[in-house]
Amino acid sequence: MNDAHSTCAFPRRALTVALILSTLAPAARAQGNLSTQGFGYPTGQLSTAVYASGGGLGEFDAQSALNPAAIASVARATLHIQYDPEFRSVSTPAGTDHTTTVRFPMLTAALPLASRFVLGLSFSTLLDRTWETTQTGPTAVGDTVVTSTTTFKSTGGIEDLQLAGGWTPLDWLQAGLGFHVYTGQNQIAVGRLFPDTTVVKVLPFSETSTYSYVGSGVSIGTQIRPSPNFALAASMEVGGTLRVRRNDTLQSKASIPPRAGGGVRYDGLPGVTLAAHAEWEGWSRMAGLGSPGLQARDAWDLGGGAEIVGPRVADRGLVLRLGAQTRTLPFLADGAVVRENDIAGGVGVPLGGPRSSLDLTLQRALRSAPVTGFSEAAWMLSLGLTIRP
Amino acid sequence: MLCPNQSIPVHDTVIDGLSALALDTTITGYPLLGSEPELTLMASGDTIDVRGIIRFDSIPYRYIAPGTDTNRSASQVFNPYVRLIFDTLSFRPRDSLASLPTISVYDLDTLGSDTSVAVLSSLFRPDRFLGLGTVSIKDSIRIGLNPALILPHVIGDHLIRLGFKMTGIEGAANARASIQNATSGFAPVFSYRADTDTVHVTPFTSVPKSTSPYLDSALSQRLLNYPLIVAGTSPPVGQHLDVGGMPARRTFVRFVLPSRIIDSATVVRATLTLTLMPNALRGFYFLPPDSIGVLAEGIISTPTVTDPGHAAGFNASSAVIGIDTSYFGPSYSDSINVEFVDAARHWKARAADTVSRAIVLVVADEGGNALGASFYPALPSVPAAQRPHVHLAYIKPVGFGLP
Repeated sequence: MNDAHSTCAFPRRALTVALILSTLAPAARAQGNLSTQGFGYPTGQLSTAVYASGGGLGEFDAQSALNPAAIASVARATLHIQYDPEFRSVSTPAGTDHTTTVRFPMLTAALPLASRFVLGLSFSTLLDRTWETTQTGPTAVGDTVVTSTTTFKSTGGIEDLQLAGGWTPLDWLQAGLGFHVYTGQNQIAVGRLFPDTTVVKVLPFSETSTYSYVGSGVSIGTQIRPSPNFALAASMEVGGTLRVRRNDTLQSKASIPPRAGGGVRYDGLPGVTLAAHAEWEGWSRMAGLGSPGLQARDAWDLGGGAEIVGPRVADRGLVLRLGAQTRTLPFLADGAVVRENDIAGGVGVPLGGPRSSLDLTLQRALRSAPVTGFSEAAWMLSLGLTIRP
Repeated sequence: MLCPNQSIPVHDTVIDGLSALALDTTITGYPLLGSEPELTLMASGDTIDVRGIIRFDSIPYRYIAPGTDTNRSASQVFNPYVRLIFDTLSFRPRDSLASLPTISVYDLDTLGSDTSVAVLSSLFRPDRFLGLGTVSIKDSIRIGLNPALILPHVIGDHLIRLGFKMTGIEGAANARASIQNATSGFAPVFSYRADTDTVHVTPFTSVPKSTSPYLDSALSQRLLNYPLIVAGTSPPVGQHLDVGGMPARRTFVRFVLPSRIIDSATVVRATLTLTLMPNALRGFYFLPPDSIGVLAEGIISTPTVTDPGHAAGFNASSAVIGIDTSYFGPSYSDSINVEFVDAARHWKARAADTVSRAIVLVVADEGGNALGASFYPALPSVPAAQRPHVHLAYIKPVGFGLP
């Protein structure tokens, strides 16, 4: 892969559909998608509940991996895990294909060590590079033309392991410090199959490689509540060098993308929380990690939403959430910036009182770039389980 | 276009045999006498005469006569016969009943030589003629034998050694058939009765057994049944590459192929093209047409084993190197494509000084298959178009990984 144009990304999918489509138009289809270009799709490192509020509560959420100060608000030991499948439709001039990507992007744990100090550990996906492309068509092998299927497949991504401490020095002030280790792998598989060996014997070709990432960073954050109805939060992160190796060989290195974000929260309406956030991420620092043609751009993320205490069902109070978000994705598609707009809604259900809760979020994301004829739409489901033993 | 550079091109190249082959030669001596997969009988005028011998040594001869309790030796022989089971697909010709051949059976018991073609072939004479059977489309035949000639062996040396010869009903034979051998699970059977009382005395039946040569038990065991090649289908050894025939030949080929392809790329198809010499198909029947399967077996010896005859003994099992099969025959073109991609894949990542980059071409059912052919070798005196050449289709490392 020598330039960003050649980044062809198709998430893991129902392969049958792809094979059928690509068989129908074998020469015309250079399939791909918009969202997992470059080193992959940024999941946002948000919890299920925050996705539903358009990311507005991200700087205040202890289950998200943005602001280390947020965990200072955890009153008892907490464990959170979530499951995020994405059902994507990619439309190209040759047709529409449907894909499914399964992610487990977030695992967090927080443990209060003292009345004003909480220790947190989180494991979240920074970039998910999981996709697969398949093409079928006639190929000349020696003096014979046979049908062959080529497959490009990538799984894995870059993960963010954070050890954070949250401190509440004053009732209206929280502060946090996080140490990040970036790790993860991309398993790349390339193959060419010749399924019909009755004409001539042709053996399949396959090539696999594993790329490992390692880097580190540090983040700081704060939350200020100047009044009971109003809160502000901000956080930032800077990183060191991110290295990528193939086996034991260093392939390239670049910087961990810096990040800065801020949020505002208003609790002045009974049973309603309104929140908004803005975030900047310096993805362009990653450009040197890939081939010279990799095009990465810094990205802005703006979003907001509301969290409403809903009706009581079976003596349990539900939480309803609604939000919207707009952002740009870090890696260009065919030289164009990809924009993602999404709306989201969700519900939080307490399970067994305050001991646990189940959050469900449904997002509708539309992605576009000024690339003729390409568009992408996705339904993203997020299911989060929080346990406070 | 989001992914224009995602392709895995298949490259190919053709290399002349003078460059691609370090050695190509014919080797003889396969298989060991008596280890043929089937016992093939074949006759075609005066040019081909392949006969078969089956031994029934140590036949039973003692029985209890009706109305007595005495165990006695047989003194008479009634209803002797031999039953043979065929590989029915081997019948040639088999298109009409009128052309069905016959098999004549002779008494081959003799002292002295066990394998001498001259001695044994001379025993196929009228005074040793035992019986005649017509090869039928059915999968077995039962040939009645002359009791008068069987009796001396029953009461004497207890050795029944039968010689089988393909004969014609009218004129010279022109046919081929293969008999399931003694170790196939469908062994030939020799049977006779020692008494006319079919109620109280059961017939004796024997399967092949060999007891000589006494000092070579391995050979003795192989000689349960074996072919007697009076006039075979293999030509004199010369400047040609032979495969198959009776006695069978193999072609040994050692390659010198570019390391940038074998070692650095991935070969997806490897083809050795051999061109038939004129009139080089032997033993073939055109109706129904014969085809011959050629197996390309990889060699796993190191290059230090330089003698082709010895190196060919290190042919890998199909579990180590998959065996590629190619077919050719009169209805095919005048050349054969021998696919050896499994062997080529085996050479990848194995240094050329650790494994011989060679294959040996063997016909399917070697020893039981009378079909043979000769091909042009890689010699400067052979026109380039007729020399062997190697066609390699390969894929270079894609190097796909970082975006």
